[in-house]
Amino acid sequence: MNFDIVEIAEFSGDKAKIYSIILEGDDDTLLNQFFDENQQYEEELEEIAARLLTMGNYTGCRIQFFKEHEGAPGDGIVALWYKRMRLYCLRFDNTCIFIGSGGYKPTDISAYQENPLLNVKAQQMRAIAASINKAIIEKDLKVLEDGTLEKSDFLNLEI
Amino acid sequence: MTTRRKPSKVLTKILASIDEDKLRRTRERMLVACKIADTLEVKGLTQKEFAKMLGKSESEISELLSGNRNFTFDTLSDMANCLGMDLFPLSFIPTKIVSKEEAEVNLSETRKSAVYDMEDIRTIPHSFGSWQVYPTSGCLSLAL
Repeated sequence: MNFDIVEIAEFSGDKAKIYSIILEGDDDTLLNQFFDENQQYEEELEEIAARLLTMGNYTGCRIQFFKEHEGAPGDGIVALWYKRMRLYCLRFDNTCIFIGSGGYKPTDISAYQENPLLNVKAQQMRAIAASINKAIIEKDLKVLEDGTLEKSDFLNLEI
Repeated sequence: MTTRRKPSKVLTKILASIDEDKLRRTRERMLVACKIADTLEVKGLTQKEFAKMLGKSESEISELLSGNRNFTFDTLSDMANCLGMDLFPLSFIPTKIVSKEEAEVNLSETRKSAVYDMEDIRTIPHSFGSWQVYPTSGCLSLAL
């Protein structure tokens, strides 16, 4: 399945560019889907949105704001979290982040793998991260100094 | 690629509900967390070591530095003291140590009785039988 990268203008700013993913055949980005699927957790969503706004415009996507090691070793998958809410992302550096999806982590589990829904979201992000990382290594996708993306004509993102 | 998309209705609603105060608090909490993290890096301290120095758990420090948790003033004070940094400069507040006797003298001097000039005050009967007091000059008036 192919996918595309979409800049989230509402969050992007001078300090960081915030992107999300849109899968082939979908109308919405994974970020929009995340907000739609978890709308009952208003407080958590508000906090996550306020932090994305701050990262885009004031602080950049510093590693301290995320939970690390949420994917395979070295693949750059992190989770933005507040209370039990998890939003999986691929963090390139302080200036660039690709947001996937996530969900509410039930209180009775300690690892996301124990929750089928959260596991699906995390695994999906791992596949997306692998594809983006490959494109960056093969220079089909370039992240510029300010976080903007430059793509080659050969770029083909798929999971 | 990187084509901009409109936010969903839910995201639009969430963004609209974030007011200036909420955004300012989040921003300042995260900026303070950045300053502390930068100082840790300069001093070559890990979060684990820092947690140990403060007598806190590593997860608590991680939560604070992620901007997730609200700092208490005491925690900030402890962190600043531990790292030898000035997070909230208080030196502009004028303070001077005075003896107890000196303080008592100053207090008694400020409590001298004063004579109030009532010349400008006149009273008029209220139509309902109570009394209202109006100053005849000045910009303040009392309407009871």
